[in-house]
Order: sequence, then C-alpha cells, then structure tokens
Amino acid sequence: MREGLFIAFSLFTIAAASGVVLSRNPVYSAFSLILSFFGLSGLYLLWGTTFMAMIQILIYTGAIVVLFVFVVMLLNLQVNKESSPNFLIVGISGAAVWFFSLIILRVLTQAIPNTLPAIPTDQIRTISKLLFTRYLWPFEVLSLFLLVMIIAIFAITRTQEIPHGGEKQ
Amino acid sequence: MLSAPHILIAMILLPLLGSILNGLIFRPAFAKRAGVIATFFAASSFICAALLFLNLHNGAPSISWAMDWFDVGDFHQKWGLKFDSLTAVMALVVTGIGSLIHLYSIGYMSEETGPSRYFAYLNLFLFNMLVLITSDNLLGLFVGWEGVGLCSYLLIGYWYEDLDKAKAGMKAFLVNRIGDAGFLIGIFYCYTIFHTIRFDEIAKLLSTSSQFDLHLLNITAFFLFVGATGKSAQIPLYVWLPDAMAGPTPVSALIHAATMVTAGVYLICRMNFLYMLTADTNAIIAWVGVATALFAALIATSQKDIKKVLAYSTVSQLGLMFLAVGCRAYFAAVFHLMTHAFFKALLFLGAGSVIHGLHGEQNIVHMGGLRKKMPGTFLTCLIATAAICGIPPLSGFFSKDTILFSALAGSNQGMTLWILGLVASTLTAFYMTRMFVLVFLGEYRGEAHPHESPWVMLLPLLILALGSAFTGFLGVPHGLHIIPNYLEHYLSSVLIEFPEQATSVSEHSAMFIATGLAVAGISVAGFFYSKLSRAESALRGLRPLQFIFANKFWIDELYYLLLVGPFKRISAFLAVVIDPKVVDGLALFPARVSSGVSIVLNVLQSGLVQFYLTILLLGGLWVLWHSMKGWVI
Amino acid sequence: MKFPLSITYWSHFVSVAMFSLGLLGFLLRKNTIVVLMCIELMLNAVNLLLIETSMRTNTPEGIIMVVFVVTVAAAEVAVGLGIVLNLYRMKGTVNLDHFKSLRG
Repeated sequence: MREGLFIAFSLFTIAAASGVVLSRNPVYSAFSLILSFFGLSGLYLLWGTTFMAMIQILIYTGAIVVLFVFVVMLLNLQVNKESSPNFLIVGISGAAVWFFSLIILRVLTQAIPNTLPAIPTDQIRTISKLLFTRYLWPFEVLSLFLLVMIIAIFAITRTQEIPHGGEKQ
Repeated sequence: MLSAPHILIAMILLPLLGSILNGLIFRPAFAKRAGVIATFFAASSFICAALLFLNLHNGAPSISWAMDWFDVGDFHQKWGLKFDSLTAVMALVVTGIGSLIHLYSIGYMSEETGPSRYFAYLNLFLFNMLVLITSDNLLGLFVGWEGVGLCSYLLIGYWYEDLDKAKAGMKAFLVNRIGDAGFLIGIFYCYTIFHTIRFDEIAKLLSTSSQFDLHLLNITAFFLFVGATGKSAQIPLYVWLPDAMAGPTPVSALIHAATMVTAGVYLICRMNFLYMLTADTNAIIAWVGVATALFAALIATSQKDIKKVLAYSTVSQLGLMFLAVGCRAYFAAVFHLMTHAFFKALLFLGAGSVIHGLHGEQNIVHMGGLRKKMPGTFLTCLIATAAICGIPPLSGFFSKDTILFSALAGSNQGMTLWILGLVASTLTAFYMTRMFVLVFLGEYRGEAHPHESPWVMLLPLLILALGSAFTGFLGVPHGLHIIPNYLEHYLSSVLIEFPEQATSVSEHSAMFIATGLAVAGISVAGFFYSKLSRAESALRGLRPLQFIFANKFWIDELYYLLLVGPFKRISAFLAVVIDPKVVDGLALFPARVSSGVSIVLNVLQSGLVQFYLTILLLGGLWVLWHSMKGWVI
Repeated sequence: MKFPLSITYWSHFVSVAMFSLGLLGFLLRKNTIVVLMCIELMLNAVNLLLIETSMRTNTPEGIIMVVFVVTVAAAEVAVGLGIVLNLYRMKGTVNLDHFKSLRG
C-alpha cells in the first residue's frame, strides 16, 4: 500500500518537474513547481518526516513560489518570448543524464547500510535539541545570513529619488 | 706655475671651450661677437703652441701626459698626449693658420645671419685636429680623425638648406668613412702584430727586434694608407674634395688645404718607423701619389670654377706629398705640407676675397682685370701663385724640389716617378697661371661691381703671403749648401732621415730642369690666356681632351653607376620589401599567431551564463569520471 | 514502522530524475525566472535524497541539513529575483541570450 502511494507520488512529482522545465508560460512553470513541491511533501510524509513535509509546504510553496509568481506577474512576462525547447533533445539528454546519475548514485550509496529502523515519534524534539546544542553555530550563522540577505535585497532593488525628479537605480 | 703638460692640455681644450661657448650661449644677435670669441680662442691656442714650441726648442725633451681611458679585458688604453718636434710643427701650422682663417671668417661671414654655428664648428674642428696631432697612440689619433671628419661634414654642409650643399657634406663624410674602415683594419692589424698601438712602443719594437713578418707589416701599412687615402683625397677616394667646395671658402682654406687633408700625410709620417720597412706598400703609395698628382692636374686645367681649380690643385699637391712618403722622404712630405698650407690657404682666402668682392661670382670666365679693383688680393695671390709654381726663392720651390729629388733618388723606379712628377708640376704651373691670368689680368668681363675686401680679410692674406714667401728658407736642401736645413734637423728626432743615394741626375740639375719647366708652363699659360679668344682659337685642336678634363674623367658618374646606384637600389629594395614584409612579418608573427588563437578561443567567451555552466558541468563530469575510474562500476 | 527497501530505490529514482530535469532546464531554458525555478528543483532533489538517507539510517543530521538547505534556498531565491528585477529594469527583458556584455 505504502509502496503504491509512493509510486504514485513519485510519478506525480516527476511529471510536475517536467512541467516546470517544459512549459512555455512562466506562470505554468510556477504552478507546476507548486505541484512538484506538493508531491515532494507527500513523499516526505511517506518517509515519516511530518516536520519536513510541513516545512516544505510552508516555506517552499508558501513563500518561495509566491515570490516567483509575484515577480512573474510584476514583469508581465509574455508567453513565447523564447523559442520553446526542443522536446526531443530535452527528453533524450534528460534520460541519459538520469541514467548515468542513477548509476553513480547507486555506486556512491553502496556503503551506506540499509538498517531500516523505526520512526522516532518525537522527531521535532530531537531536531530542535540538536539545532540548539550541536548545530548551534550554523544555526546562528544562518540567522545572520538571512539578515544579510535581506539587506542585500534591499540594496539591490531599491530605487533612489533624484531631487530634480525621476528615479535612479 | 703652469707646467708644460698643462699648457699642452690648454692648447687642446681652448678651442673646445670656444666651440661650446659659441654653440650654446650665443643668440643670432651676437653675430659679430661670435667670430671674435672664436678667433680669440684659436689665437690663444696658437700662443700655447708657440710656448710649447719654445719650451721644446730650448732643449726640453718631448712632453708627454697620460690619463686612464678605458680597459677592456687585456687591453688597457690610456689617453696619452705627446708633444715632440713633429707635433710642434703641425701644431704651429694648424693653430697659426687656423687663427688667421678665424680672423678672415669674421669678414667673410659678416653677411650671414647667425654665424655662431659656423664659428662653433670651426673651433670644434681645431680642437679635433689638435687631438689628432697630439695623440701618442693610434686610437686617440683615430678619435681626432673622426672628429675632423665630422666637422668637415658639418662645415661643408653649413648652408644645409641647399640640398646640393648638404649632399656634398654627406659625400665627404661617407667617402671618408670608407677610408676609415681601412684605417680601423690597419689598427687591428697593428694591435695583432705589436700588441700595442702606442707610437713609441711600436717604434721601439720595430727597432729592437726583427722577427716581424714583413708581409704582415706591409698589409698593416697598406690599410693605414687606405685610411690616409680617404682623408687626404688620393685615388680612389678623392671624389669628395671637389664637391666639398660647396662650403664657405674659409672652410675650404682651413680644412681642405691646410689642415685636415694633411692628416693622412701626418699619419704616415708619424708611423715612419713602420713605413721604412715596407717596400711593397711604399711602391703602391708612391705610384698612387704621383698618379693622383697627374690626374688631378689634368682635370684642373679645364675647370671654370675658381674653387674647383684650387680643389684639384690641392689633390694634386697631396699626391706629391704621398709621392715623397712613398719614397721614404718623410721630411720632404712634412716640409711640403707646411709650405703648401701657407700658399694654398692664401690662394683659397684670396679666392674667397674675390668671390666676396664680386658678391658670389665663382666662374673665372666672368672675372678679369681685378688687378686694379682689388690690389691687395692681387698682390698676395701673385705671391701664392708663384710659390705653388715653384719659383725660387719662394717656399714652394724648395719644398717641391725636395720632393722631386727624393723621388728620383729614393726608389727603383725613381726616374719614371721623377719625370711624372715633373709633368705634374709643369701642369700645376700651367693651370695656376691660367687661373691667375683669367682672374686678375686683362679686362673685367663680368657685371658686378668688384670692391676690395675689408682689413679683417686682407690681414690674414698678408701674413700668409709672408709665410709663403719666406717659409722655404727653413728647409733649404743640403745639396745647395747655402744655409743649413733647420727644419730637417729639427724633425730628425722623430723622422728618420732620408738615405743619401747616388742618382743619375744631380740635385742642382734636377732643380734647374724643374724650374725651367715651371717657367715654360707659366709662359705658355700666360701667353694663351691673356686674351681669352686667343686661348680658345689655339686650343681648338685640344677640345676633345679639354672636354674630358672638364668633366673630371666622369669618375663621379662612374662611381655612381658602379657603386652608389646599386647600393641605393639595394637599400630601396630592403627598405620597401624586406623591412616591412620580412622583418616586420617575422616580428609580428608571434603577435599574429596569438591574435589568431585568441580569435579562435574567443568562442568560449560568449558571455552567456548557460554556456559557461554547460562547460562547467562537462568539466565536472570529466573529473568525476576520472576519480571513479578506479572503482568498480 | 519499518520501511520496505523498494522505496529507497524509488526515492533515488525521483531524486535523480528531478535533478537531471532541473539541470537540463537550467542549461536550456532562456527565461531567467524559469532557470531560477529549475535551481529550486535541483535543490529539492537533493533535499529528497538527504531525507531518504537520514530516515533510512536513523540519523538526524540529514534532516538538519535539509533545514539549512531550505533556509538558504529561500534567501537565495529572494536575492536572485531581486537581481532579475534589476536586469529587467536595465534591458527590458529577462531573456538570457540578451545578457552578453561580458562577451569577448
């Protein structure tokens, strides 16, 4: 049963990902992205990480894709501004890349044991404890990083008003 | 207290100082003052020379001085000065006549704008000539040699706006250069044989040991003679001297009559200890000398430009000097050098006076009757002409007869050389009289208004006339038993005496024959040229010969055809074809290659991010592939 | 709950497929914003792999890494879109072929 769901979600995610890559309309791409994130979230649930599934939806679909859609709407991008990618080329090279990457991945993960343990129920507790003890340093740096990013964005995108009127970027 | 070496250095450096002053400080407004300054320095140099001469005369040994110059490997060269009797004679002549010519130039160049350049060059020339004659080694002499060549170029091409005059200057310098190449080879041979290039050391080596290869000595002497040929205008390198008449006349007087052209003679006399031993080269020198004398005399008989006549006359007289040298009569050569300096300088300055008085006319056909209009010039030139023709008791008589007699006595082919020398001297008398008659006697044939020259120009003429007249008494030959030969005795410390030899013709007879022929030459020329029409009608038969002589045997054209023309064509070819295409091509080849490569590689810099990332990815895959090759896949 | 081994294989399958699709879109699409989306795809593929490994071996480090990745991805998207906005202001287009001023 679980496997069946897993297969379904997998195919769904892959289809959505193809949609992102292959559609001409950037809005369609954005929506396909949302769908792929949902698929991923489902996969995470099936793996048992409820926390990550929620994080995925909250942050990715809730913030990042919103930002994407916002920018797409702001720029009022037209459809077909670019020549659409040649599906055949994309398909074949995609298949090739996927095939070889898979092989490599298999080889690389051979050493990792498949122990298949049980799901810990208090996942969030474990993670939070680790975040604030062992991984405190990266955690704090990350918050600082976010602050810097905010300032950076502000600096990059602001427009300045010049006294005689008009705007300067 | 000034010691003798200091005076020697002062003598040499004073003209240099004058040259620098005139060259750097004076503005064109100070025109006349430039001449005075230059003359002052030249005269002070003469005073130093006189002081040194007196010092030497009073029994002091020759003065030497040396300063470290440069060292290259085993070759340690000092800048050495030597003032012995030969240098004394040369120095007095050079500075004395030089000062007179400086004085004369003040008047001659009075209409020039900015003659300070002229006087700077003139002083510089004096400096270089003094360097030449006071050096105690071949290299220092060569420095002065080159220096006078440079000044000669600068002064001949003084009016450089006229392209022909500038070309004449260049011709002088280039022809000289060819001689200089020979000179340098001679110096190299000298060093190879003797391992020294100082005169006294070479003299000592040659006198003490006799293991030197005679053949090598001959070669050395020959190459040094080639250098002398260039500087002293002998065949085949005389072609620059007639063209050098493009310069101002005082320049011709100083450089091309009295001083620079005698440098070649001086060189050989300085190295007389070498030339005493080289019989083969001496034969060459003697024959070249007499051939030049004859050749130039023939050309001079048909020249119409007053300065050209005198130029070829100079070449001819130099030929006689080399004849003497080739017969090992070094004193005779120096003696004739001295007397020739006086009367030739006088002739040139007189010609300058005539040209100045006629406001630039140089063609003797348009002159005549200047006896009345320019009496001072007339009288002094009369003395000079008589001297050069060899009329006793003027100086030219004594010196020329010394040469001719030593030619007769001094070599195996003496008789032939003597006869040829006599022919040359007779021709000299002929063409000089021709010139004199056409310029000063008869009626004036021109259109200008001749006037006598100012005193600054006449005074030197007077002094030189006195010299031309009386200098001969310094070197009266032994054979006449009148008065001792002061000059020969004075120079005996440096110049090896001429060996007495029995001859078929006695000295007295030779003198009579020579003088008689000279008088004959004068009479013929005087008779024919006193009326120009008479000359033209009488000589109609000789017209073809005259044509050849007047065209200088077309030697210049021959040189151009054989040497200069092809050289120019080769240069043009190199400049237009080889230099841009081959040399530049070769130099630019790496540049072009890298340029081409970069154009090809530019494809990789498309500016497109995705392209870069694709390459990045491929590179990463390649690295991955290689790092995993060892693993089992 | 025990996990059947097969979902490991499927996870790898999806992860690699998403990654390769993202990679290709990243290299082949001309619209800058779509390219940024493909970057997100690739990041998510990696996230999936990390979580799969972490859950399979019962270690929490994988999940913590995913937390960091998500954070950084969010920040990076924001900045990237800011830059895209600037590009649009400069050139009037977001077609990557038009941004060639570093050419040569």
